[in-house]
Amino acid sequence: MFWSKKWHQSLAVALSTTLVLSACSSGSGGNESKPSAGASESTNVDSSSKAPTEKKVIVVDPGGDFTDYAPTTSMEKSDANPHPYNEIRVLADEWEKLHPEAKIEILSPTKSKDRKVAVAQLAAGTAADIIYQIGTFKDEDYPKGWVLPFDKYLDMPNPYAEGNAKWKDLYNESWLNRSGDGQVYYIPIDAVPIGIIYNKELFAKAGIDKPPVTYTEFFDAQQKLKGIGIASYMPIYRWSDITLETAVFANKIKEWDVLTPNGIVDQEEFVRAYKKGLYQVDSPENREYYKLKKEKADGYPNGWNSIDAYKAFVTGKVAMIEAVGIHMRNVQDDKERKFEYGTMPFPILLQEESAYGGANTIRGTAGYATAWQLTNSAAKKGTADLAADFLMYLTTPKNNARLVNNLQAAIPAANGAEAVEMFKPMYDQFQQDYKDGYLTWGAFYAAVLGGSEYGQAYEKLSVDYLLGSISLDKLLVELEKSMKKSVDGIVQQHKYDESKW
Amino acid sequence: MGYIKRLYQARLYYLFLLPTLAILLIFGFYPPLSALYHAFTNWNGATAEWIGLQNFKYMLEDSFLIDSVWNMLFLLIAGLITGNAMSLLGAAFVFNLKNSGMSAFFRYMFILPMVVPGVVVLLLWKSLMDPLTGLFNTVLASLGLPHEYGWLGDPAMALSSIVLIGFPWVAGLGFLIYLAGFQSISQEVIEAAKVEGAVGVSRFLRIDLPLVTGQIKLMIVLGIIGGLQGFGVQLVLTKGGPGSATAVPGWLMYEQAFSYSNFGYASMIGFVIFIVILAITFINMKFIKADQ
Amino acid sequence: MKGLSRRFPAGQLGLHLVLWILLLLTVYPFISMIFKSFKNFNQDTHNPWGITLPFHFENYTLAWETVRPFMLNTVIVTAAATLGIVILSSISGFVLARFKFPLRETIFYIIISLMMIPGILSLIPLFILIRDLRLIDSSWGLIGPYIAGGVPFGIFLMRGFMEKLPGELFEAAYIDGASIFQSFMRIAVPLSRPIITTLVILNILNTWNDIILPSIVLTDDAKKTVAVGLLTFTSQYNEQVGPLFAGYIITSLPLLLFFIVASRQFITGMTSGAVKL
Repeated sequence: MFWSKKWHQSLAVALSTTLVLSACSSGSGGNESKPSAGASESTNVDSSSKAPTEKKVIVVDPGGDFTDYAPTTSMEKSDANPHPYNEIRVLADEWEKLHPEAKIEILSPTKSKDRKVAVAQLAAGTAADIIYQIGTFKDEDYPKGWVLPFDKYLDMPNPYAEGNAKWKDLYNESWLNRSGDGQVYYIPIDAVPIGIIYNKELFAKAGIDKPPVTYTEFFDAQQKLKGIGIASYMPIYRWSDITLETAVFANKIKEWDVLTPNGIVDQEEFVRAYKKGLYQVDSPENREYYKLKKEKADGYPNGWNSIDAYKAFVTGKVAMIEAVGIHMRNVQDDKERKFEYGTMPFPILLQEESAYGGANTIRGTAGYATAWQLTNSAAKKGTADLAADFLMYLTTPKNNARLVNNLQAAIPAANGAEAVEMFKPMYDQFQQDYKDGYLTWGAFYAAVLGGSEYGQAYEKLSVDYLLGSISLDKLLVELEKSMKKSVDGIVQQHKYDESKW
Repeated sequence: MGYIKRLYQARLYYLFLLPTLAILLIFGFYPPLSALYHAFTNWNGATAEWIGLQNFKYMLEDSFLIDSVWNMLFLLIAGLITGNAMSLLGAAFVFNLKNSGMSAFFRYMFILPMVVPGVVVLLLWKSLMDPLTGLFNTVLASLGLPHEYGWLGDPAMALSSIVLIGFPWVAGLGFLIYLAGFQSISQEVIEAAKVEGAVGVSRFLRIDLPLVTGQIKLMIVLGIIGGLQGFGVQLVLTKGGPGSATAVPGWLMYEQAFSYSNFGYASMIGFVIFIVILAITFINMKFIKADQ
Repeated sequence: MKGLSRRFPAGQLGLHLVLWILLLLTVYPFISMIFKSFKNFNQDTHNPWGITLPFHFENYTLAWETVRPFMLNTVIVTAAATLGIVILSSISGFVLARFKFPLRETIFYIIISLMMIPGILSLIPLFILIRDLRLIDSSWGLIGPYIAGGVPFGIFLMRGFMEKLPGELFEAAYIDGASIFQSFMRIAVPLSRPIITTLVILNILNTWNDIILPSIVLTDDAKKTVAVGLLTFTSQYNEQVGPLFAGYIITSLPLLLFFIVASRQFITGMTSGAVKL
């Protein structure tokens, strides 16, 4: 009518082509739960079904700290799809058979990993029943009732684990981070193997004959590498800094860990220590910490904030990278890598090296990593008990191993679960250190204990300091400002009973 | 009551506007108004207590926020230049091509990049600028030049690296708008200029350019509105880093909301940004109108 | 134009040269994106910038399998939103352009001021609103906000364009007894074809690639859009660059197609003199 024929035609052609293409595809159904490689039949879960059904639907958002547990689009192994995975769907199907009154829907890809999505969903009550969030966020979320405590479930026996009296026996008590109110708001799915991967060839070239164990040896190695013009170290996460901080404050931890003596300073204990002046931002320990950090950072390549560490390592441009399980897996898998590599744990601080040395954190793993939580959605839908039961099923030593080991990226969290070959040395080192009385992972970590506001300020300011943009004095002054504000916020939110202090 | 009568007589017009106003009211006005209310509370996503101007006070004490304004201004001004100068020139070049086949070819080629989502372009540039494995440093090294630049990871270079993204800054919406502007210059004007002896660069400066000032103004206004609040680069590439070298107010607002759950505070920041945008655009428009 | 070239052939050569250089510089990142879309992880790690053989076409297969179910949704949402924006903008632009009535300027400026609100400010309240309206997981939860987002600029363009339409045409129509609506449909709209196309293209570009709104509004797999579907390649730690870029190329193709087909009208719309201040 009002359009010229030609325009009308071309518009119609373009639109119809796209529609035809998508119409061909929509026949396969929009709600694709990826078909499991197992023999299970219940593959298509229709969660949006409004048809009258008695089944309770449990929605699972299976993210993970280093690798997601969501089923991959396809189970065909290929270069584009090197780690096909659907073990979680297989496990879910098995559980459904035992619980015909419920259905499990697994989101793929995981959405809650994106914090803004998670926040929006939790605020609106539309999140998945079981959701993955980085562990630190639960301390912000639980006061708002966004996540549910597991304590009552942890005291129950896990019916799927042989000989289990209480679910919590499957975990190391001191490793389960209790939130400010003393409750446990998550179930750990895996523990992450950590350490440093190093390039044996570059080490040899630089004249380093054995992997450094102490900080002195470590700095020495860095100097040697600098001597041959190679960047010595790239952090991916800043975890070796956590162990350094814990080491430097090790002696003080006993002083602060009084409210719930368990080897870990929790948030309330930290706030108490701060308010009583026992912990000060500008303290000799902290200065030592930053001094050591800076010395280490001098070996980082220029522009390290923007470097892809894994790629740089595997192409021989940097000699050591701080790595976790998944990097180790990828380095192992890389057939084009032209050098031999080795792994070693983080360096430790000896008493001889520093006034504050002598006690160090367990090496090999960083404790529990992937934290799955029960959300307010489960409470609203009345599926909390069933969801917790499903989690019990997933976390028996045997099933936890099945869930995690397939991806070769982490160690299953449940006690007694076997780790994959590649991580056994890490696991063994950790066992050894545990016996030798090393400090628990995260026994003290100010950036978390001080609240998220302090944590973020710390991230920015410490990087500014390492890059030389601000001086140590200014750093400590600014950190103190943030700490004060952040702690005030925590106190306001938690309303501690200070008389107990 | 003549006013009421006029309103009544215009009722048909209001009727036509009704659907638009309804949708705008619900999805367009309500959310920011709600955010405005929450700017005066300590909303954390679950509870909100009125705290008056407390958030505004925090803003004045927030040294990160104040420092970020300088970064934002740098990016804004640099962005206005890169976003307009090269696309203007590029459009002028294409406009002056005699060969209509080549002209059409270049026109398409410089518009096509608009089809690619912004995220992709950012990710590409990030890997181009990777200090160890990126193309730039690798090429510099192979040419024997200094090649240890930190680009986005170097606090001294980070902001400039952000500006660099999109080099040579020709393709995109600006190119399109300017080319269209040139093409709408009537032939008569061009012929008349030729008669006066104004051709080539001279003609460009005295005829073409003045005739596209309308387009330039539009691009500048849009650029200012976007630049004052933008944080896409920070979100995808730098997270405000290294340290706080590339933080801008829009990014800090996002962080406050989604990393610290300080939605009340974030709303106050957003509200202040809005007022600033409003004020500057208002001044801008007055400036433009005065010109006309 | 011809006269110019006869007088300055050297100038033309120079122009061509400069334009080719600019074009290559512009296009290089996209070409490397195409190369990368054929690489597997190892190729991308060890040879990120060159062409690597063999080409891994399975990246495209994987990417297509990932986004295929979402194509229809994306088309529906984009089409509905764009249609809504065009219809509302043209009617409102028309009324605001050609008739005088009380509060006309006020209404116009209030609508325009919406463009200045930082998007992130509205995000959470918008989301809570969508939930309260029970539009979670509904395409309308996306379409409504998209329309509200695109209408202000749309009205700006349409009003600008329609203001310039010659009054005589309308006069004649009204004398013949045409209603407002008829004058709109029979005169204003046909003449506005170029600017409408401009609006259509700009909005399709914006809506098709948007990630933020669909991420938080849609939890049901069935309703997802392609932009969200592609996030699966970035959500695993292992950024699978190959399928990711392959996916972006695939999802850009319909846009490209539409763009090429409608570009003539688009250019006319841009040159109509309405896209400026």
